[in-house]
Amino acid sequence: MISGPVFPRTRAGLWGLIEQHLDEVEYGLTLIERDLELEPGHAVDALARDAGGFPVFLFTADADSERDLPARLLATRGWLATGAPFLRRMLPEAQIDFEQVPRTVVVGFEISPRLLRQLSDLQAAAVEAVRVCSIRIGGRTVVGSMPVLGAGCHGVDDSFYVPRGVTDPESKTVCARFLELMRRVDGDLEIRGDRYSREFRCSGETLAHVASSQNAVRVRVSARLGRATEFELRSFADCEEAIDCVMRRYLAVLRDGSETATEPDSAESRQGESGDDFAGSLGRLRETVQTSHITPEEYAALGEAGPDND
Amino acid sequence: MGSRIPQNGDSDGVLRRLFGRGQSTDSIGREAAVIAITSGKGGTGKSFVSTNMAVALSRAGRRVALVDCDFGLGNAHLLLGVNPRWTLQHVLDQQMAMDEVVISTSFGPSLVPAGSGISRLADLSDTDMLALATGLASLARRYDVLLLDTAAGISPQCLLTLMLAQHVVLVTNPEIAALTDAYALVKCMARQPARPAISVVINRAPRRGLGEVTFEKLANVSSRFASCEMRYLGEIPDDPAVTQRRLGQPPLVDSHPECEAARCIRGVIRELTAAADGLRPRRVGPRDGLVHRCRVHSATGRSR
Repeated sequence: MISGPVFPRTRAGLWGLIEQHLDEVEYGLTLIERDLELEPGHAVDALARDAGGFPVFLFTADADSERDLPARLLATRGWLATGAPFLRRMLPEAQIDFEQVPRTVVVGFEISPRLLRQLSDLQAAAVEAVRVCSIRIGGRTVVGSMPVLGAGCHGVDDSFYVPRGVTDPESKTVCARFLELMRRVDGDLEIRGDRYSREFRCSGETLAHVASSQNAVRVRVSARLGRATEFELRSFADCEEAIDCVMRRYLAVLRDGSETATEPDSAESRQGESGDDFAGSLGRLRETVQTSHITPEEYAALGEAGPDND
Repeated sequence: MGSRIPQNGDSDGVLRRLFGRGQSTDSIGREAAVIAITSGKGGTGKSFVSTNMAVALSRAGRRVALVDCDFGLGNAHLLLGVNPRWTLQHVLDQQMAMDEVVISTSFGPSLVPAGSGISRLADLSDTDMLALATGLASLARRYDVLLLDTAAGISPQCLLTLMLAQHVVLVTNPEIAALTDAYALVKCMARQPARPAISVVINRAPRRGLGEVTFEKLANVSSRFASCEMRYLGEIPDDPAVTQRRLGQPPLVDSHPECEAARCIRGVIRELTAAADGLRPRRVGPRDGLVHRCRVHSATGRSR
């Protein structure tokens, strides 16, 4: 059964969703401080750290805050021109790389056309906007997000391109390698992603999730049964090992869910298969072999037919 | 986290190795005529027939690839005088792409050699079989005829390999033991949905005409008990040119093209060409290619 929305469409409900499902707003986002006051009367709704360790200012958009939001964003941008160097000293425990100017992300259940237009006009502020929603499916809360302003809403985040948040050269290289291999698995995979991550799906099932965090690229390959398999990509060999796992998962998905036994997610587990898993896909053929013995009548007919008797 | 795949001097990734350089994994279109050559038991001369058919077809102008699917016991490379470094085992282990293990032979056909002495290959998983089918599909886009020299006997893996083909050539001998095992294989195949057509070659016929008599008897039993109709392709005599061959000699159709056995092999090819839609490549879509046939026949409990 599907029901929703789970989080009430109020400011409190929006923050409840953000705090509990920040990963859905953007992969790897970590909340550092709420209501960070930059100067008297001027606060940002939240300071966060993204998967790359860079700062992000979060603003929420709702019916009450929408009117003042463009002005607040401009003011924040103005403050950052001189105040950014102080942030690192003031928040050393945040482990944020304040060398990069904080991004600005607006999050809301709804981003009205008017607000969207105003945010678009703030080109100097380089604002991103994300819509979020939540529904309940079978007792489980599912949260989704959709970028409506910024590079993410133009399809860059749903492609085989390296996520733009991946800036470390080595990470970019291995990430690009892995994504190229994924493209070869199936160029028509359904892809979702954001600044730091990509999720690949096939026939409605998740194959793999690749993400960059703190200059490390990690891949998680889903499994129908058992735990997902995780890889950290440091070299092309790691990419190959991960893709081996992905391909097995892909092949299993293509079988339309016919497998019931644990999938071979690694070379070792594949070697462990002895072919006696009747529930596996070769089981029916094995049954055919086992039950296709020759009857006495057939044998007699062959014997009578045998040219030895000619 | 799983073992690392050994490096083979190629840093380009497993998928590229499996599916071939620059080839799209999901391209749909051309598929070679896929012929599986099998027998109910070992020792019937199946590999002899398959290698000579491959050479004869190649001499006739077809682009032929012979895939030795006799996992663990492959010997086609010996009959074709090649010493492969990479085999089908490396493809299934995802160390090499199918097109990287294909080797040219001096007799015309290309060869994908099987591994030898690797017992594990005789018990491949369903994922392995699907990977094999995908690799074969990649190969089938580049050739006119794909000959699959399957393992002798009956195993789920062998059955599934046969189901990948569009046409099966069953090689048997006139002896009752060979006939019995051949019929057992026919009976297994007859129970499969959407199975390929079956034709029969009688090898080592001790006297002329005995092949057709043998076939008639086998066909009658198959039709009566298994509701399976088959076609006769011909007989190959117990020719001294065959029995006195040694390893290292060229295939018979090259070394003794005018001997009785070689003429009969060419006759088998003519009959097979007529039976198998001219042995022409064809257009395939996502629902009638090699990979699809593998999925259909390996689905648990599923039948059409």
